[in-house]
Amino acid sequence: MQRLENLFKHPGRRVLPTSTTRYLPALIIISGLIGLIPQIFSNAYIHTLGSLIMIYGVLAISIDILAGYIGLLALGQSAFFGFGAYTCGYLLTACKWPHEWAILVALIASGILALLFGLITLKTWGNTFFMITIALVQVIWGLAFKLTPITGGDNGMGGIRRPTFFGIKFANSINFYYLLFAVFILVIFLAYRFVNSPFGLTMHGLRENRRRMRALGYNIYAHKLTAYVFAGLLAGLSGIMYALFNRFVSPSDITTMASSTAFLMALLGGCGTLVGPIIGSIIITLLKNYISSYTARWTMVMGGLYVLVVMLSPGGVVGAYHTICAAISRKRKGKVSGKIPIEERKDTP
Amino acid sequence: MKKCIALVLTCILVLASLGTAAFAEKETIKVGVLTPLTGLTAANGVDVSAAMELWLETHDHKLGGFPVEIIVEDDEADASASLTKAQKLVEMDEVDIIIGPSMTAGLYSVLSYCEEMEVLLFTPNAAGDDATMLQASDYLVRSAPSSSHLTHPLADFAANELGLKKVALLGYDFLYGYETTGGFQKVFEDNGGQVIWKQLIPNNLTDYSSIISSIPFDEVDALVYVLSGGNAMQFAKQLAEYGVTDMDIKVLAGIASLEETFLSEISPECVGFYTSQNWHSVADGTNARKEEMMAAFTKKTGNIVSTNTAQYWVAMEILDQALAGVEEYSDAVDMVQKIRAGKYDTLFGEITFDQYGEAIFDVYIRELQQIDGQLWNIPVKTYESVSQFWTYDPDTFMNGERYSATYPPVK
Repeated sequence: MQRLENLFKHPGRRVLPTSTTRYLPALIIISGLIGLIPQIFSNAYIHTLGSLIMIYGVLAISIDILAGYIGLLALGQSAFFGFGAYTCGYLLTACKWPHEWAILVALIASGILALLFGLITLKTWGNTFFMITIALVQVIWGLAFKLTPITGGDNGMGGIRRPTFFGIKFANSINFYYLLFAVFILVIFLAYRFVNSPFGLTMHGLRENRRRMRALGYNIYAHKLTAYVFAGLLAGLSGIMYALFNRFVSPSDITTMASSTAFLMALLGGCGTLVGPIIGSIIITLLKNYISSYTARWTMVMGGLYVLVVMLSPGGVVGAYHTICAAISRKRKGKVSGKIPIEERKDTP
Repeated sequence: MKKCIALVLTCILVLASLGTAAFAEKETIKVGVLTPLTGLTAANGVDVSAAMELWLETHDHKLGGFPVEIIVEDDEADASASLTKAQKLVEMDEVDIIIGPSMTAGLYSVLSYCEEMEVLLFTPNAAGDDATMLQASDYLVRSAPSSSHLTHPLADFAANELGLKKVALLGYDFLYGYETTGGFQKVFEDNGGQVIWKQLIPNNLTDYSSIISSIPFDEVDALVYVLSGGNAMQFAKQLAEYGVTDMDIKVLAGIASLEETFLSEISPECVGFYTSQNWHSVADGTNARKEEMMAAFTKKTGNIVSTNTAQYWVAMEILDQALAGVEEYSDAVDMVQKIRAGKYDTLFGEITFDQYGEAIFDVYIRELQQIDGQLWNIPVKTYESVSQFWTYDPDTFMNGERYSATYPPVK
């Protein structure tokens, strides 16, 4: 049986290169298009979907860093998402803190949670780590559900207000969209620098062959922990964005289903590419919200899509793009060099 | 002559304008319905969709004289999905009224949004007490019972009609469970009873044998449980297997613990269990409107009308009657005030509203009986015009300690 983390090892550099630099144009174009949504569409519901794409895109990037770059199958990112959202919501509603402090403390709290959890669990790999991360989600979900005086229990936590920064009121949905967009761009920039730094290259090494990395003298545990905390911070930040956007948080936002949806976004778009999770977020958010308006069987459509992607293109949309490009390139090279494709050779005397 | 012509022309113009007003088609009202079409409770949403279709068919696509367009969206029984779909209904479909969502957390998330967008929210199902108490809104009307709304009369029945003195109480370990069991305990103990054993359990258990075996049956007159759906079915099954149905104790099953939709799955040994509900599906000739709807729905879908389906239908009935005297629908707050001030003839019987937007209706204490081999919840007592505050003063009730995991405590 194939180990789970092997799913994310790149089958060949021709298909999915380990460097993310080649995806920079795609990242810029797709992010730019997301930023243009309020200019192109006046309908506020489209802005809502654009906001959700950015929020879940950040969450999916946090998963991509772990699964795509280091080979850690983390299904527990919604725990940090929820922890960030609830902490920010609680500080704003119950403690009446100003937004600057509430956001900062919620972000730090998510990072500390990731650090504590990482210290305990990162001794493991693969299926074991995968199962432990699910347990983390269950713990945080249970706390959100049971700590009714703090979290509101199954009623959720409401009354979260949007911020005013530099005299700009972000209660206005267009203004808030651009605030989300600014954070989204910042996250992409940080994640891009992170995975393309020398540290990022060691993450690639860990994913491909951790024994060799250990033999070369790298501290695997410290590298994993650093990446895990960074991903936890991003997940916490997406939770904070979500709390401020929705102005409401409930335990249903922290379920394993929420985690697996974000995981599928990364998988569908293409892990280890940074642009893939954003593409996955776009596809899943749009499909989920549009198909469900036309058919109650929308989960079946989504399920079918996942199965198709896994069977036909394990590298996701980005992987499929590379496969097609490689095929076209081979065909062209074949013609230029005068080589005859195999199927044509049979007919050649 | 000129004066005569001017007078005639004026008369023609006035009559023409009157005629236009009298015969003008009212503007279409768009109603968005939020109900789960996927997930564990999808069956409820499918029935609600069918009921909405039935409404259009049987009411000539009208609601209170207005042409009506109904748009059903899947709220996935999830708070964030409810909010996103509410945004879609308001911003893309431009609905005037939202009926739903199905869950309390969804209600709170959608309510804030409806207040911001000034849209009327009519919730026929979500039960959280506070929605029509401390968090009551000018934009909200609820025709469904709040969580403790139905356990108050059940407790009164237990104490004063059955004469029970000591009971064991079981419910969910989250807010809905606190409010339902808390409501029972408060009224029961205020009427001289005592809860001597209470357990709050998670909603994802599949085996209740250890819980059932820990209940002190020899010390209590009755077991009271408030569960729902598959949990309630499994619990009732295991009670029968454990032999509780043969013991000399009463069993009271709160609210949706013995829903009509799954009575066929319930063991006949559970005959004699009591439930409280503002709905029963017995065609006893007392409510022609109800019997007509039940027959039409069963003919259309092959299913019997569940409480959930009836609640959405009642929401439509109330809107239909409230809108009947309205020429133009424009302001949600005005409409909410109008709905709250009215009296409505519905599947649930006569409904009025309190000042917080919660319905006041008759509550039936029903006993599970077997008739011609089929199980039925037969009403044995009716509590008329039951308020969410039961017989307590609203201000005292709301400002007192709220039902929680630790309140009321087991003494």
